[in-house]
Amino acid sequence: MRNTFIMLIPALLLIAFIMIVPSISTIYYAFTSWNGFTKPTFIGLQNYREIFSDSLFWKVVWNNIKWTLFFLTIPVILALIVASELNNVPQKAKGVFKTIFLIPYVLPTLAVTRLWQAVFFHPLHGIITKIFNHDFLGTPSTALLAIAIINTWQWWGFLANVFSAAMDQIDKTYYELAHLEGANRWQMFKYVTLPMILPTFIFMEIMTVVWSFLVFDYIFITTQGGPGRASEVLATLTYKTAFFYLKFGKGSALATTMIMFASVPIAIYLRLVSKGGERV
Amino acid sequence: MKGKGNVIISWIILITFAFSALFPVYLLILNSFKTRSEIFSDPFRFPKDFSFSNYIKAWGYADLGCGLLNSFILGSLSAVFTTLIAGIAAYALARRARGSSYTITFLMFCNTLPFFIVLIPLYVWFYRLGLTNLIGVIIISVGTGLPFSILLLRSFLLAIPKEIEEAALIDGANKWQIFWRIILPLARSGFLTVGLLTFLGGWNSFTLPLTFLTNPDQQTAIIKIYNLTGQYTSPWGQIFAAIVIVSLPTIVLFLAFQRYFIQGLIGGAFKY
Repeated sequence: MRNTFIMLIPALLLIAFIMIVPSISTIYYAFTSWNGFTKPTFIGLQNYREIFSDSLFWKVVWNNIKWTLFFLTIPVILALIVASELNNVPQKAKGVFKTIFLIPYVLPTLAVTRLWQAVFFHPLHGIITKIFNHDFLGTPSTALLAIAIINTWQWWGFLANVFSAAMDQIDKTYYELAHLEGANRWQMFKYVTLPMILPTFIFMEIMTVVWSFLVFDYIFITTQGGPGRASEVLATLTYKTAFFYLKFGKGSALATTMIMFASVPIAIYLRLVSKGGERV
Repeated sequence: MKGKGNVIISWIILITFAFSALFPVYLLILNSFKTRSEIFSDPFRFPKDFSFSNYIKAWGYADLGCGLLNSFILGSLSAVFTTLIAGIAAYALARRARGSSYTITFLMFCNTLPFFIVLIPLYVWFYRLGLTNLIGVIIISVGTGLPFSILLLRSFLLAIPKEIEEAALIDGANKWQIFWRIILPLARSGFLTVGLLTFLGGWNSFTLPLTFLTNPDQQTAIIKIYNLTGQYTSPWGQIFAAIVIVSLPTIVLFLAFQRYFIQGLIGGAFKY
C-alpha cells in the first residue's frame, strides 16, 4: 500500500509546517528574550520566573478558572433542560426548535459581542444596564460575568443540540418502564436520561475545560481584558504581551502555560477517543 | 410519561428559550434601521422611517465591498484547499495506508493543539516571508483546519463499501480515477460538510485576520467592522447595519444546508 501513503504526504507536510514546527518553536522561544525582529537571546527560565512571581498572572489564571466553572455549569444546565424538554414535543416542532437554537451559534462572534455590547450592556443605555442600574461590562467585579453571559447566549443552543442528539439514541422502552414504576420527570432524568448520555456529557465537560483555558475572542473584542485587568485571561495576556508590548519570548512562555493548564483535560480526551476509535 | 400538563410546560420552556435566541437577533435587525439617538432612547421601538441610510453609510465607511470580497476569498479558498487535501488524506486513512493508526492518533493530538501555541512563531516567520496577507491567512487556516477535517471526512469515507472500488479497479480504473469518479460523489455530503464548516470558519474568523491582515486592502469584513468601534463613541446604527450584512450569508448558508451543518458539528465531531 505504498502509493496510498503518498496521499497522506501533502496533509502531513502542511500540518508539520503550520502546527508542529511552530509549537516546538514556541517552546524554544519561551526560554529566550525576543522582540520578534532581532535574534532571540537564550535566557533560561527567566521568563517563567517573571511570570510565576507576578501576581497578575495568578489573577489571570483565577479568571480562567472562574470562566471554566461558569461554563461547566450554567450553559450545560440550560442545555440539559432544553434537550430533555425537546423530547416532549412532536418531531416537527423539535426540528424547528433545534434550528432556532443553533442560529446564535452560526453568527460571527464579532456580531454577537457587538450586539450585546450596544443593546444590552451599553454603559448608559443598555437594556440590562437600565434594569439593574449597573454597568456590568464597565465594572471590574462584573465584567467577566457579563462576557460569560454573552458567550453563553451563543453557546447553549449548540450544547442543547448535542445533548438532544445523544438523547435520541436512548431506547424509549426505558422511559416506558420508568413510567410504569411511577417515576416522575426528575427521576426519569436522573436515572434514565443522564446515565444514558453520560459519555457525551463527560466529553463536552472535558472539552469545556480545554476551551475555557483558551478563550480569547469574546474578551478581546468586548473589554480587551479590562476594565484595568479585571477580565484578563491567559489568551488576552499572551496576545498583548507579544503583539502590543513586542515581548515575543515572554509571550511564548505564556502560551506554553495555556497548554500546561489545558494538558490534563487534553490527555483525558485523547485517552477516551483513542480507545477503540469509538465515540467516548 | 406525556401528561398534558407536562407537555404544556415543555412548550412554555422551549418557546421561552427560542424567544431568547431570536429576540436579540430581531433587535439587531430593527436597530440597524435606526439613528444612534433612536437606538438608545428606546431599543424596542420601530424607527420613525425605515431608511437604509445606515447600510449605505456603513458600506462606505467600512469599505465593506472590499471586506466582503476578502472574506469570500478567505472562506472559499480555505474550503477548496481543505476539502481537497483533507479528502485525499482521509481516503488513504480509510483504506488503511501504512501507518494509519499512528496518523489518526497524531491527528487527534493536533486537533487539540490550541491556536495560541503556534501563533507567535507563525506571525514572525510569515512577516519575514511577506505573507502577512490573505494568502498567508489562507495557508494557516487550511493547515490548522486539516486535522479536524481529515478525521471527519474519514468517518464518512469509512461508510463506503470497499466492493465498489474493487469493481472499479477490475474495470481498469486507477487510484485517482477512483477518488474523483467514485469516492468524491459517494461521500458528497461529507465533503460538503467540511467545505461549509471551513468556509464559515474563514468568514467568521477574528484572531488570525486581526493579527495578520494589517493592510486595509486585504482585511476581511469582520476586521473592518471591528475597526468601526471608536474608543469613546461608536456609530452603532452603522455597526448594526454592517453586522447584519456580514451575518446574513452565515444564516442563509446554515438554513440552506442545515443537515450538513448538524452532522458536521454534532454527529461527525464525536465519532472519529
